[in-house]
Amino acid sequence: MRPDRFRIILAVFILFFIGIVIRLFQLQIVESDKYKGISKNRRIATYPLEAARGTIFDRNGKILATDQHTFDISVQYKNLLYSHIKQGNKVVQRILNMEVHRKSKKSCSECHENQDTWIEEIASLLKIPGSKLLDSARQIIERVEKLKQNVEQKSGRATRIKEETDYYPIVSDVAWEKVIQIEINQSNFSGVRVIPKPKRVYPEQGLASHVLGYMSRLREDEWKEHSEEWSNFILNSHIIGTDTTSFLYDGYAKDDYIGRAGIETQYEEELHGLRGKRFEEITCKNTQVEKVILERPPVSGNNIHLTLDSQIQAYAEKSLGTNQGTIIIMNPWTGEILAMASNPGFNPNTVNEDFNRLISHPDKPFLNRAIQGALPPGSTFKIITATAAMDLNHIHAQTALKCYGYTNYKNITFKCWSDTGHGLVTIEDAIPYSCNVFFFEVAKILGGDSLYAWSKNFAFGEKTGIDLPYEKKGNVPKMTTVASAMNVAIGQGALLTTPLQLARAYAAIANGGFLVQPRILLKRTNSQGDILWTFRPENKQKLSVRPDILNTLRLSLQEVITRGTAKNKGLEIYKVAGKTGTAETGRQKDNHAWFVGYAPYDNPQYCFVVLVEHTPGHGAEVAGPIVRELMSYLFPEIDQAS
Amino acid sequence: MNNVSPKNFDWLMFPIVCGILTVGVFFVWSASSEKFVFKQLVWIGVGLTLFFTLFYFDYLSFAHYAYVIYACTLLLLVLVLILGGSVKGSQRWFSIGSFSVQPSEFMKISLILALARFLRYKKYGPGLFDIGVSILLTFIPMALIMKQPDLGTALVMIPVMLSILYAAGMRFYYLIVLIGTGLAVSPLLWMFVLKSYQKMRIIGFLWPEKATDWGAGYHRLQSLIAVGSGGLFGAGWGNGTQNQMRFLPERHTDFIFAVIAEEWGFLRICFVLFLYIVFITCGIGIAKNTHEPYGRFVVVGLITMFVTQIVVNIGMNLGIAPIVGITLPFISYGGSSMLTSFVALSIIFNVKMRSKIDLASRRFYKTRY
Repeated sequence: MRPDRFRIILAVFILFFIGIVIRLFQLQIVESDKYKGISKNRRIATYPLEAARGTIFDRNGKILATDQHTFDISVQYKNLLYSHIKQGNKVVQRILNMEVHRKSKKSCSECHENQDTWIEEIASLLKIPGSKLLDSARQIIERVEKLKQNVEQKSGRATRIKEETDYYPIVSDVAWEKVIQIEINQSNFSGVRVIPKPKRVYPEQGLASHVLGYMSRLREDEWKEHSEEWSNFILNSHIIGTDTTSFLYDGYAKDDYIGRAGIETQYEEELHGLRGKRFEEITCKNTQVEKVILERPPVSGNNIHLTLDSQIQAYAEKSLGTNQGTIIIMNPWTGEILAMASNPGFNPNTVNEDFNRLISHPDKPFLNRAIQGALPPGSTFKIITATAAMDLNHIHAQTALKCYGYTNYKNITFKCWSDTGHGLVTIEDAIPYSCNVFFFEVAKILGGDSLYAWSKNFAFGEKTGIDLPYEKKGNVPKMTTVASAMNVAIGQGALLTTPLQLARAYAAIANGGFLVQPRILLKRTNSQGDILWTFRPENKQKLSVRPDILNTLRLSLQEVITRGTAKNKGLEIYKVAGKTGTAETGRQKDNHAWFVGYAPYDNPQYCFVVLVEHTPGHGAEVAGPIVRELMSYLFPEIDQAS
Repeated sequence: MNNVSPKNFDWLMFPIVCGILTVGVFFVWSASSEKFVFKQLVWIGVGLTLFFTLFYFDYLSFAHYAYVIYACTLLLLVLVLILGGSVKGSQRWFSIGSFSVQPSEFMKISLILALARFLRYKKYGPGLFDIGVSILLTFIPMALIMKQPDLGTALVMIPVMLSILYAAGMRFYYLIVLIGTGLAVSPLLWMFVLKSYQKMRIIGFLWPEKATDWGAGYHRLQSLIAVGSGGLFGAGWGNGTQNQMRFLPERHTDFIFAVIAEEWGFLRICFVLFLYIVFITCGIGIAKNTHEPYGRFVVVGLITMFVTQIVVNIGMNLGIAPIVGITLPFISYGGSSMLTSFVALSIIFNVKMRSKIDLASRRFYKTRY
């Protein structure tokens, strides 16, 4: 073959190497001084650019939670160290060495003088004792020096670590006027930098606090866990495209806040932005920034739009008043939650200051009773018993059973709430008058297994899957004896349901048998406002209930208002249909009052649950006026007409 | 070790490689910690064992199984794409316990073995059809590797293919046409294949001021500062500020050259380059003196692979090549890269040690050559 080809190949290869040498010559000989300058006198300072957390809106675009700008006063690590030399606090050996170096003639006066004046300056400006500043400085120094020692132990030689170039917050949440003072007199504040820091605020104070949740500082162990998780963050590998890239975006820093409940927890990953960083070169004197070497811009978190209507939410909270309990208002067709009030609540703006008082409070203000309260549903559960019995053809709309005020089963007496009894009742009387005996008799025919199966059909005993954290699933007991089935038939016994589960069951009656998925997320948008995702009603799960059964139930629920337990409560004009309930807890005068229903009955717009816990009164007399007030807010035109 | 005698062992090339390895170990140490040095030494040990073990096989048996090896590696690449989907980020690893394998590294060698096998008996040089098949053989694994996405490894394959074709006697005219077509097609590559971050990196390289991807800009800047501040004599081993202050990312892998440049300076870095040049010259010499076509094509392919990696890696350290994630052979920290380099070196030595044998009795002389 042609051996000269190998010469050509070799020549090409060597040409490449000559190119490399030329470039090396250019960088290392010709331009060397420029780069050496950068490298040797390099005082790099890095400081974080905080990312704004996403805003939470209600369905009409009203802001429920957002980030407000506040200012931290931060000090360069070097200056923190010098403050300690002056105070004679030799927390670390290295500082002693620095002191020796400073006193020696070799040290550059510019670099070592006036590095500790910041303490007096800040103390006099903000009128806080200097010892407090020194104290926080010492904590930071101890932390960083420990880290440094670890790194040096690992590498076996003196090492400068990145943390030594950082600014550390000394005072947070500083007022505007003070910040301006510092900015103007920058030269007096050696090594001091004002760093904007977003702070979470909830402009509506305590409104929907259980839904929104709150923010608090990461604990040490949580932070470790999170930084581990974020070190493999996907953005890293995509930006660099190689494998050892953990140094890029740090997801959470040590003193970061994290969502602790509600939406803030549920959508933490969406809301949480990515912190940026600025690398800048500073002069020896440390007062001015020579130039910004590089800036990694922060990435803002995404915004969350809720299905909540803050107007309706406010009505719900106002109606609930000081009663301990909850109100849910849901769109019965789509499962969108329009309001979810729970009382007692908290103010997410001040929650961290009040934390100890709140967490030890006997009424559990952090509990979102709408999804975390599992309680006996009482008479409101009777529609499930009725559906089961009618679906299995044990009874039909005209089946009449006799109520003497009590019934017996195997020597046990089951009592109706009316001592005199209701006489001969059909289903359309039993629901309005909430006759227990009718449902005891039905339960005897029905048996425990069928009742269990239908409770499960209505998805009791399971989480509804609403996008809020820590939901309870309640309990549907296995009913092995007829007696236990009789108890469950009227919503007592070991049966526990959450208010949201009941809302969903009543929505199914209202909308023609569809078990909707309760939802609180309407859409997600990015920080520019582009829509990333919007809620669309999904394929709803259809219950196999015959239409005539639903009609019977709806009629009965309407009659609860017109002639039943909730008559004369002023609810007729709003076309409310619903069921009251008084769940007994076994203790005297300590009932849970329920009112579950929907309105208006001819075209349901709202499905609601009102629950008042631990009240001496009965369902209708406690919850009735609350529903009345709620309806007057929801339908103001009807209210005015009357 | 039939037919192999120590007399034919390349007594210049081997010490050169040892020299490069030594430099590598010391700078992995400077750039990271003892833990990595220890691991690197283990990899070198495994690599050397592999290097000597492979002598036992006649390299012509590699020719015999070339297509099988090629197909198997290709299968591994497909598997890594399917199985690797669950882990975050770019997928090019197989994890077997704590040991991870990167099939794309081995693909480079498999491709060279297959290309050499395909082109070895083309008496009048590869024709248009042969060129077409070679391109196909190259582009299938390239596409799979780009999908991972691992732009660097994929791009190494193009010079390898071109140099083997050229060594096999392809007309110069075809070479020009091939390169021309490649350039003409590259806009399509830009539009349909490259991921946005890869595009960003190339933009950042061509027009640094327009770069919006701060990551690439940061790498480039830090690495330039490191190299530039090295000057004529360097800061001394273990004294580089860029390196020790941990400003330079990926110091012990892709950006180790910048560490060497910072701590050793211009004069000594030229010595490292000199070692590489001797290594390459020896390699091309082996190809030239081998009369059996398979061996010489394989050696040309492997040497081109080395050169491409060296040039692109140093180029990105010096800010004259886009940052694509290519390691520096025998120096960068990393198992897969080290093993691949040793396997490639072993094949080169294998060819050299068998090249002096009288080949007249071999079957290929009876066929077409």
